[in-house]
Amino acid sequence: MILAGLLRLALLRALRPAFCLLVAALLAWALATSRVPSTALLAAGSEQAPLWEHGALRASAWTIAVLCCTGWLGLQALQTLAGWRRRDVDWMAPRGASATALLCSSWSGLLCAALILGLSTAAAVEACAGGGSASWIEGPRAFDSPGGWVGSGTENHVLLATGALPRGTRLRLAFAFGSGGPQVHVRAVLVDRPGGRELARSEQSVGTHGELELALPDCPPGAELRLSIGDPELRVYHDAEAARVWLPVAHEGLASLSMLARLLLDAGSCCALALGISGWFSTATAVFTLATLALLVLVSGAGAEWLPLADLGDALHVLQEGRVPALPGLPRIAAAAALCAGGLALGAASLVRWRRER
Amino acid sequence: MRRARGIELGLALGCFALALAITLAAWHARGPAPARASLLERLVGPFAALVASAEWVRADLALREGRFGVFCERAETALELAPSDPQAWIYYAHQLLWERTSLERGSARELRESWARAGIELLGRAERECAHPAEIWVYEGGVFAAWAEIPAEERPWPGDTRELRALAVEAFGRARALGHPKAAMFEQALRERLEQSDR
Repeated sequence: MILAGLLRLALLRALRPAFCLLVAALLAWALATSRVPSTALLAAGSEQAPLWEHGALRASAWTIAVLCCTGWLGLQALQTLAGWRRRDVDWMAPRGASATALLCSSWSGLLCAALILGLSTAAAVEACAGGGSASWIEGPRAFDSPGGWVGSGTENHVLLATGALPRGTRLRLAFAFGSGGPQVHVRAVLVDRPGGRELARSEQSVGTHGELELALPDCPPGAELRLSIGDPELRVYHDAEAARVWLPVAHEGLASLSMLARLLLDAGSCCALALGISGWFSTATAVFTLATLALLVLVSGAGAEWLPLADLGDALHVLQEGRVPALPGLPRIAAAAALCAGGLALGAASLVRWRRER
Repeated sequence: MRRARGIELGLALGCFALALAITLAAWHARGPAPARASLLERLVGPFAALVASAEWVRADLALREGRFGVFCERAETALELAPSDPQAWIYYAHQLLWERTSLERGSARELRESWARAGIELLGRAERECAHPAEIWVYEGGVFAAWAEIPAEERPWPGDTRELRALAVEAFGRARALGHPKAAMFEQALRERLEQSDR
């Protein structure tokens, strides 16, 4: 099924020395110059400041790696079928090789290039960040309910929908539309429901938007969050859908593994789509189509997280804070696999038609 | 063939000379250069102001979402790209000096003082890097003058009223020396208040 010669050729073409040198120079510049301003460290607080320092390095390096690798490998994929049309393939593949085998081999070569580039980036980033400290990984949604207004003298009760949580977990709540004053003082108390024992408490002033984080001890399932506001004249909206649980991880370097997984899924989908599209359109039209699709996905809002590149912005935000973006979930992997299969099938169909016409 | 190449070379040299003349003319029209451009500004070249505007939009979004640390990072990037506009520095400093030090936030006094110090340090950087430092001196003078009117226990600055007014007078004096049209008036008013409080 996979032709080793074609795979090696795709890999070598993708890893051209000029491209590798350019990416290496950009990464070196990003790693050497990325610094967190003192004001951002002050905002992060003394506990989170070291994580932010490492996070700035990771965010800048992975932004360059993901955008350069996906773009470059997509371009290589776009040129592949155009090269074959110029009878470039016949001498390197057996006559009897199927269209699917030809495409899968080239696609695998490009994916191997993405893996090599991703691993090199991860090694460089972790060597420079040198952060072996503990951090938090993005966990599941904290609540099933959509949220609601807090204020007017009433206390808002919401049940935690995550099950038991280990010690050191953080619960990040989101608030919006604070009204009645420039700042709304929100108090959040997490209690064990059967006994009413207080598990954690935190207070925070919220403006137009704001977040509040609670550090949790061992948390039993079904704990209840009680939200209240000091001044009965004020109110604020609790955006329960945006609330997340952050689970403790022993090593912050796990962030690079998560980004590597994203890079492979994004590059794999982009290369397969590029192979498929370039089989039916001219190279220029295919470049334009793919760039438009990528731009649409990058700027699309919530609800499109399963598409390649769509959750890149959110993952980089998490990296910036020195935390670990969630590893790609099953819907994300399934969507990437479906896009890869669709793109390769489209390319194979174009190749079969082209061979018949010849 | 050789003649055609010669014409092409001549055209290319002509275009290069024209581009050089336009660049030099624009350089002279811009007046005295404020400070040496940052590496990022030089890398982005003529698009620096455009990219900085986009970065300010992103910074503002982060501010509205309540992610102040991210706002600071994006504001710093925007200032690195286009450091000449004093209003950009003043907007950033305003967030540190007034929004972060506000009593409404319920922050501890030490934290409010840290934000105030960070804001004043930022204005110090702005004076060195922006194109019109007089605007920065006037803003700084205004900040010290306003803090002087706040009761001592609510003030995010350790100095007393007299010290703050003296700092404001000094800042307005520097702005006057740089030719700011209103600085002399502000300086005179503050000097009178300072003398009244001394009497």
